[in-house]
Amino acid sequence: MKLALKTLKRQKGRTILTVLGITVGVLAFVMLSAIAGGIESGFQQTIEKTGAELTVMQKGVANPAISFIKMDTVDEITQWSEVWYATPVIFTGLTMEKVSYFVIYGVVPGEFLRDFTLRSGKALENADEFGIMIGANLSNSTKMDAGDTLLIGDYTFTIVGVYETGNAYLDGMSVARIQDIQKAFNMGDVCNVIFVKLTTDALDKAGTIEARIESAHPSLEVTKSAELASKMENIQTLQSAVSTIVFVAALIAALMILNTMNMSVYERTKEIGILRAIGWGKNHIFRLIMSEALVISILGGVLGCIFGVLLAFVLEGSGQMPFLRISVTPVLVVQALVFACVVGMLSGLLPAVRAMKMKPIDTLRFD
Amino acid sequence: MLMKLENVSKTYQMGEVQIEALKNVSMIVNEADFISIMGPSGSGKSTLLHVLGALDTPTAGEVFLGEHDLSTLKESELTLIRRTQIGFVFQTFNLIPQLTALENVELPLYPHKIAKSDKRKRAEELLEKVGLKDRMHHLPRQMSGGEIQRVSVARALVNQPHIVLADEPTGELDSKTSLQLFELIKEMRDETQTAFVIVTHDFNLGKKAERKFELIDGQLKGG
Repeated sequence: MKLALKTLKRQKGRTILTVLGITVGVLAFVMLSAIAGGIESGFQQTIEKTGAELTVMQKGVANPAISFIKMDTVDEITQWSEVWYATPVIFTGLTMEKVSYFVIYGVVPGEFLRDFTLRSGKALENADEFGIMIGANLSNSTKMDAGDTLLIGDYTFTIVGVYETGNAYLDGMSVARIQDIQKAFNMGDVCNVIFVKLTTDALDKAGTIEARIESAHPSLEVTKSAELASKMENIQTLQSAVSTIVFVAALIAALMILNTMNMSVYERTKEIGILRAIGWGKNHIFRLIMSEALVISILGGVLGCIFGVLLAFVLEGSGQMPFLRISVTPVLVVQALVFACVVGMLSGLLPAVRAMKMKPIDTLRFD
Repeated sequence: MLMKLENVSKTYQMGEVQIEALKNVSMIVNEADFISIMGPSGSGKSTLLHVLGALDTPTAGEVFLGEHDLSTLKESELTLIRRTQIGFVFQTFNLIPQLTALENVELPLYPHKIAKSDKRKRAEELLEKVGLKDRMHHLPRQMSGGEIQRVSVARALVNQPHIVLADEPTGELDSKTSLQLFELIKEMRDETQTAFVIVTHDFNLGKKAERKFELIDGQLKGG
């Protein structure tokens, strides 16, 4: 182990480069996972905020933004005795200067905005035609406040107030009346999803209600709100995109260790020959090379975790993506370290086996 | 009798040419022998040393170390023999450059199941014996060629072998330092009763050994 450490120290430049390679791989893993996790949990919290037990969407669509439900359905469900309220929501978004993208929800103000704390202006009401409320984070990064106007489609919306919820996802978006959003985006009399809140007495009948909606409207699909985020295909797509990027990063990191260790083994042919001559067994040589690979990958793993978390927070703080909320869990950090070690072990294997198979006699003749 | 070579031959295939490095070599090494094997380069000296040192097996003939016929052993068994019964001194660049003198001397003990403190003690004692008490924590590049070879001698003895094989140990030393190294080897032999076999192309040094062999075109003469 001492020899492994000292060897890495002697080949300082190369060791640092390889460690950086692993760092970048782990950094990509930590940062992307933190962002993806943040988006998922932010979305989940938003849904939970509505308090609705059930979420109704068009069957088989990947993304709520392309799910279309007639507004009549809302009225129909609202009339059921078990239902406290059913509220339609449109998810849409807009790009503009200063923020790469911000989300707009078209809602029925009274029901949706219950728990929102006002920071400035007033709360959006049903009477506020072409009024819009924006979240605190969005207000910070765009410097817009109550009284400013915003062009959405062909319509000018007036910011009536700025709200704050403590949820970065919610605070990075905006809320307007559903009928105005329908006009601004030329949508007709439809919504994307319906959130259904049951009466206290009917809470245990969620399953029955779910079945009832689906049998009355075979084109719709009902999901328990608690499971929505993890079921949503576009979040799944995001997760799989993250996995792909992480896989590529792992591959690059592994090839870097492989290359470094291979070079190191090749250059130290004579050294390995001497160790074998003075009585080191194949297993000792194997262990030596493996521990070098492991040290490199653990160093890279730790650095990658640190920089990955830092970078994710910097990105969050920059306000470029106001809906972004970072979620770093101890599990993620452990995963990243295990990931680095596994990559290190696997890529150290080949050079270690090569070193192990060297015959002392051949290596000593190597001059 | 410590080692016995009987009609040992070694042929290499170099492309399409067969090279006979050793031809019917027979020799005996006794306990505490001080042997030199001289010969021009390419005469098969290194091959003979590798066969003696359980690094290589002969194409024909037998090599006995104590009870063991080395020519019949597997690589893992040869490793065990090298670990416990043989010491090596190579040319000057054979120390591990990133390790101190003391760490280099400890290296052969790494596979041995001895307490760390005992390993250290043994290495320190040997370095003291070869006159390098003050240089223990120096790296090879901070030492002279003569000092490096004294470290090598200490390293070769640390596993308390029966025989130490030295391949051109003075190859990169001036004549005065070479002579001093020879004197040191002789002292160490007297003290440890370990047999030393030294391969050299330097006849002036070689003739100072107690038993002298000459290897010409793979054939061994003298003794």
